[in-house]
Amino acid sequence: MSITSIYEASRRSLTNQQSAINVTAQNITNANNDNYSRRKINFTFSSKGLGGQDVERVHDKFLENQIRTESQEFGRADVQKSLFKNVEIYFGEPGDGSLTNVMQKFWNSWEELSNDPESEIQRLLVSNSGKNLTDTFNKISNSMESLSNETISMAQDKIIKINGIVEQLGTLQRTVNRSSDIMDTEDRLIDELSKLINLQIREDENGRKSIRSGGYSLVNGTDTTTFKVDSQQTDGLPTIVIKTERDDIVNINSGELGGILEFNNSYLKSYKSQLDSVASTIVNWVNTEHKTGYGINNITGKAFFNESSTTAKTMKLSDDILADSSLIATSSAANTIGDGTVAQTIADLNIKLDSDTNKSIDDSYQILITTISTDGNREEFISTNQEKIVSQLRGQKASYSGVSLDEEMTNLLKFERAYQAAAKVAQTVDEIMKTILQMV
Amino acid sequence: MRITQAMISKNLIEGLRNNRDRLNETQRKISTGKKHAKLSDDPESFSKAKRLSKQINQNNQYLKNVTKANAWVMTTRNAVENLSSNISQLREISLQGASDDLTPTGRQALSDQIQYIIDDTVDILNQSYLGKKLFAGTKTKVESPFSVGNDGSITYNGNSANINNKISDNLSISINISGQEVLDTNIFTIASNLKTAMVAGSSDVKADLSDVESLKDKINQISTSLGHRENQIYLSQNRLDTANMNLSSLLSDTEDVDLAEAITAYNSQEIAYRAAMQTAADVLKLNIMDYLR
Repeated sequence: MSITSIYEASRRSLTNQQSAINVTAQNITNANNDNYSRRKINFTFSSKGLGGQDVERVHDKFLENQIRTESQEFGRADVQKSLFKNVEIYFGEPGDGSLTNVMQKFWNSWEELSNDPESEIQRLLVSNSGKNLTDTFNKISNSMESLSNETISMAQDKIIKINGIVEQLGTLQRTVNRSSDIMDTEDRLIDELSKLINLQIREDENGRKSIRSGGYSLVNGTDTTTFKVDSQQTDGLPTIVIKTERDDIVNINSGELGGILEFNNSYLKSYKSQLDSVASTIVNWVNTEHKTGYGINNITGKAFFNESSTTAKTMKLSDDILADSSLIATSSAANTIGDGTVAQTIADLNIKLDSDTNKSIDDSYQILITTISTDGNREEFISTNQEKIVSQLRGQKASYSGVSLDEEMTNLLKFERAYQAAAKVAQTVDEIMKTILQMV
Repeated sequence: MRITQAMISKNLIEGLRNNRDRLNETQRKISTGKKHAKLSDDPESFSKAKRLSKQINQNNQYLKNVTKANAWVMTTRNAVENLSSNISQLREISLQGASDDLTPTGRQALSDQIQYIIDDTVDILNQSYLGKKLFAGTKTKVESPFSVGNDGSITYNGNSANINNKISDNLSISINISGQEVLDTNIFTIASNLKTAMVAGSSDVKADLSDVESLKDKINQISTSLGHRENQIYLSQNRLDTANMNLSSLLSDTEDVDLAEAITAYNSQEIAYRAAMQTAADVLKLNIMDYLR
């Protein structure tokens, strides 16, 4: 071994320690960056016994995939949780302005009228409470409709975000140099994407990814596709669908977008139709009884509610009753103003059982409210749970890939000492060389 | 396990947030007095609370009905009692008229008295309560249920229908006595027969005496039936009051916060929160830099 080769060894050593300090510095810079996977320097040996180095990205692919799967479910439940809060606010339960209260007041006003069938004032109260009832139904129905429209624009926002991320991913896939920094950015983007939409991710041996959703490809090598939102207006509320550029319908069932779709297409629609059925039962039942009765001036056969508007959105009092509340019928026969039988029958519709479903109007409404609250409660529970799971997995990831300052500072000392030692070696070799040269 | 600085601060922030959430929730419970803020917090107890408050509301409505029914029945009973005392007077007069030693002027005077009683009876039967005729069946707004013609004949203008009031889920009672029921006792026929007999002579009056007796029985029967209804109303009122008391206490159990428990929880959560903040401050200060010189 020649003395000059020791020069070479110490030069290499100095470079290696410098690179190591450089990696440490990079790690420290990114100590608070959640999307950064720490780098680790691995020194290698060459056949001549001289060291080289290799920088590794500390990263657990399995953990990463788990986080993504759980994030999809979290995104779905979390977006629904906040949507359900809106629906609950519309119904105002429990509270004075709630439909339960307004309905109860309506039936009670009929009961009062049956006690005092001669009264004009009590009739005014009945028509007022009836108006209150129809207004409340209209308001809830309108709010549901605007919430449904709101979900369409929410879906559009999500799609814009998704398309943006997909485009960025495509650009990254096109880069020739698959450096650790690019991998970090890619992972961050896929993490974001997985919160929005259901994904299947494949990776080839070069680390190039193909991403599919609902059976259609989003990113395939360097090719990318965009999705779009389409809404179909059926009777009632619009149905939202996601389509590819070629108008194929994509099956989105998870992520925030999946949550929005499920909320509008199944939950909100079913609530709306249940509410409509309660409204139409009230209109039909009350009208049937009301038409058999006689008002103050012995007029009979009048409808209480407008007969052609039987949905929650359109429900209203009939024009006759609005114009003249003395037409409100209480008696079962003409010229018997003290008879409140019909008013009593109407008041009792509250607890009358439907012959088909065996449920009263109130039962049907309570079932609707309970369904909404249990659905909301379930999504809230899932969301809280998924948040915990995701945060735990992220904790594991942070534990494995995150930067520990204690570690880096210790490494810094270690590499600094090694650098000093390498310099000392160079100095020593230099002195040896000097000694040899002086011998001449 | 490798623990990084970022993990420590993240966990600390999460822990502090959880503590704050819990404090906030307990504070809400204490300030509102309710266990839950919105339906989805506990759908089961909400639906139970709803059923309970609906029943309470329904009972309150029945209690209102009961009060109204009671007032009507009591007014009717007062009127019937006045009728009854008129009949007693009629009986006394007829006993006097059955005596043989009355002068024709005396007889005429008694006959006039009977006319007063008839007039008063018509007056009683034409009574109104809150602007509604008590004895007109369901034709409560007729001008006078009993009208007197020029020849003294009496016509009933009401009907024989009942006015029914619902006083519990399955119980409806009729609160009125229709004029027809009173008419069916033949009160006016008997009185006017007696009036004619009074002028005719004692033997005629004697013949009518048994009619007057049976009339008294019939009016008493009406009065008894009203008493029976008052009793029913009273029982129903009692039942509704008790039911509402029980339901209210159940409702309170379902939706109200146990304040003592909530305040104790608040105190212990506050201690936990303070401890979390204290340790957070201490842990974040720990740093290897302090030891590398």
